[in-house]
Amino acid sequence: MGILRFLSVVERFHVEPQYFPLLTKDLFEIDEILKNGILPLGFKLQQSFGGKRQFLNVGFLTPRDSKLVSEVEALLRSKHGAIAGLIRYQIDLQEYLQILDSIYGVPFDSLAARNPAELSSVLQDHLTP
Amino acid sequence: MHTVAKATGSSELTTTAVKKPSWPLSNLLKASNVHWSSHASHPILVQAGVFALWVALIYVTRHPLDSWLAQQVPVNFLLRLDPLVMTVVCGGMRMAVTITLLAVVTFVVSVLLGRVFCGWVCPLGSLFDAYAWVLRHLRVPIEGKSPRWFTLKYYLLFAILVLGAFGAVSPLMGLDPIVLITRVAATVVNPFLRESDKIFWTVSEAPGSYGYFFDGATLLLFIGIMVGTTRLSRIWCRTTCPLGAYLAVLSRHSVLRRDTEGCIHCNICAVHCPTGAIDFTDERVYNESECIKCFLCSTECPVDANFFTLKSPLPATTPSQYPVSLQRRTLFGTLFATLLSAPLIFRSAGKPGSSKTLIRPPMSREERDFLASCIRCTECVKACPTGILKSAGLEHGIRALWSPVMVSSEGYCQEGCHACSEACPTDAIMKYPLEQKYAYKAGTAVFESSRCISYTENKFCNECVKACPTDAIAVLKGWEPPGSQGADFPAPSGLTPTRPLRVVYERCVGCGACEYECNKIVFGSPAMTNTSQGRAVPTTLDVVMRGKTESVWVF
Repeated sequence: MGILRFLSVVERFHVEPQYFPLLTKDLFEIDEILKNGILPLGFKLQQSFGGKRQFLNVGFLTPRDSKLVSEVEALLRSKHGAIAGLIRYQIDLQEYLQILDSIYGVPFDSLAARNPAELSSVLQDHLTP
Repeated sequence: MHTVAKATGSSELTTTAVKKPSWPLSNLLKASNVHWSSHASHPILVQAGVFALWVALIYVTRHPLDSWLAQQVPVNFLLRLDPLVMTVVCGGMRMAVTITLLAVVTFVVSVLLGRVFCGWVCPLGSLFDAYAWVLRHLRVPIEGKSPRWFTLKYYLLFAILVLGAFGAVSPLMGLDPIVLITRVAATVVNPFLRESDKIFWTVSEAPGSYGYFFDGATLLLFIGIMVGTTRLSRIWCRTTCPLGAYLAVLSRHSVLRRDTEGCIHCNICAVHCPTGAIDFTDERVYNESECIKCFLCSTECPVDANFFTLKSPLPATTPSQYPVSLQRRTLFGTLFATLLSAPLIFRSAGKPGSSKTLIRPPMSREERDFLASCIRCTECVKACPTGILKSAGLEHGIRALWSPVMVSSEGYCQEGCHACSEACPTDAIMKYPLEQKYAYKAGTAVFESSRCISYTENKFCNECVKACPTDAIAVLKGWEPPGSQGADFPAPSGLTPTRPLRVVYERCVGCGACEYECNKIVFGSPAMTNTSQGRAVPTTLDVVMRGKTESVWVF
């Protein structure tokens, strides 16, 4: 699967606060969202031989970090067994921060007050002066 | 199901604009939860199947056309599905050419469901999609908006239709995707399948010909298209394809429409749309004429907000990206340019009477009708087992470009073969039963004794006599070597060998076998030269009365 994952195309997911899918908003805790640099972005039904299966779209700040993707997938399965898996997307940092602010009520200034270990590497880099 | 956050004031306005009247049938489908949201696998499977069929048909298009597939499916099946071919040929011929009427199916489907042909059937489009799939996985960016000059295809279509109305299938018809890819396949593939030492086989050796250049031009055009596709997906379909433009015009009011209820503006559908039909700034807005119903937007949508339903064909307001509005000035410019170029093209046309080297395949229509119905697909050239058929360069005028001509120095019209007529998708070469092959002359050979080695070198040579299938070469009996085998035997001094005397006009059918054999022996010009002299032209009535071809309805 490694080579397939390497070859697979990761789409850029454009997110806007006014169109953010609220149904999946609370599938992850805010701490998990910040630590992994992810956003739940709605469900996708996919047809397979076994019938229709529900996948969760997950926006990553670092979608090519396969270890992180596996961890998030494991986390998702542990919390919501009915979801077949995740579909990863690339999200933009600025849009991510905008969603944190308007949807999750976590303003940018409050991120700096958090322990860096609780933030994803991209956020840590961004917060570093 | 999913919810969408409250829209802002501006987005509410857009949402209102997108709402379209729906058909009762559409409501029924929604109620039964049937949407043409589909899966990309459906079109891809169809595309793969049709492409495989096309490749197989190209492969079996060769004499004697007796393979299982060729007997089940017409080898020109996809060309016969092409509505632009039907329109141009029927318009140019001023009659309904029955063999092309299969394209009515595509015509009706396009009017009802949109450019399904482009998204599901067209083999060139399938090739583009496969190429785009590879490029995407190599992370080559090929998505983007269509260039502003995407309307070029409509002007090309206009020019083709205007010329078609004057009875000329112009070389522009060579831009039709099915014609183009068939010609490319014939140019690229065929030399490797036939016993020939020629890689390019156009009229390469005839004086004043540009055959190499024009076969090369076909290849260069194709390579150019693929290079363009490396920059922008389906750039040919977006900007140049005249068939795409024709189907776009037909499908402006198709009833199978895209709906985007619950769109979250992630832009993924716009990125994936191979023809750039979806607006990048508002994904709910799209151009129905440019949509090829590939359902990629539907499949790739992360929240299943893209689907296709049946809707009223005449919506009151449909927001559209780049609504196709041709500029009147450019349209008139195209009309004038076409009208000005038409006389030049027509005057440059070859005529059998004036150009003795322009020899058409047996049972070809009268020259004017031939040029009005030959679409330059080179299926006949592909099918010809001996290589006598070549596609013309400019030696017979622009109007005859890429049309098939017999070049006897390169082959001969084989006895017991009518593959060219069987392969012709427009009956430009009429269908006929094999036993009637010599009912109509393709031309007449001319004998020039001053170039025959039996006269100039007093050698025995009866290659032309042996090759002639109709015993049309009268000979003057003389010395013959024992067994009368072979050629190039010097006659004993004082004796004259058996020699060709003349070609019997009534028996010669213009197959070119004598010239082909003679050309192998003599240096310089052969003593036997095939000409279009005496070419017999089957008339429609004649052919119908004899039952030699499919009937035509004259209107």
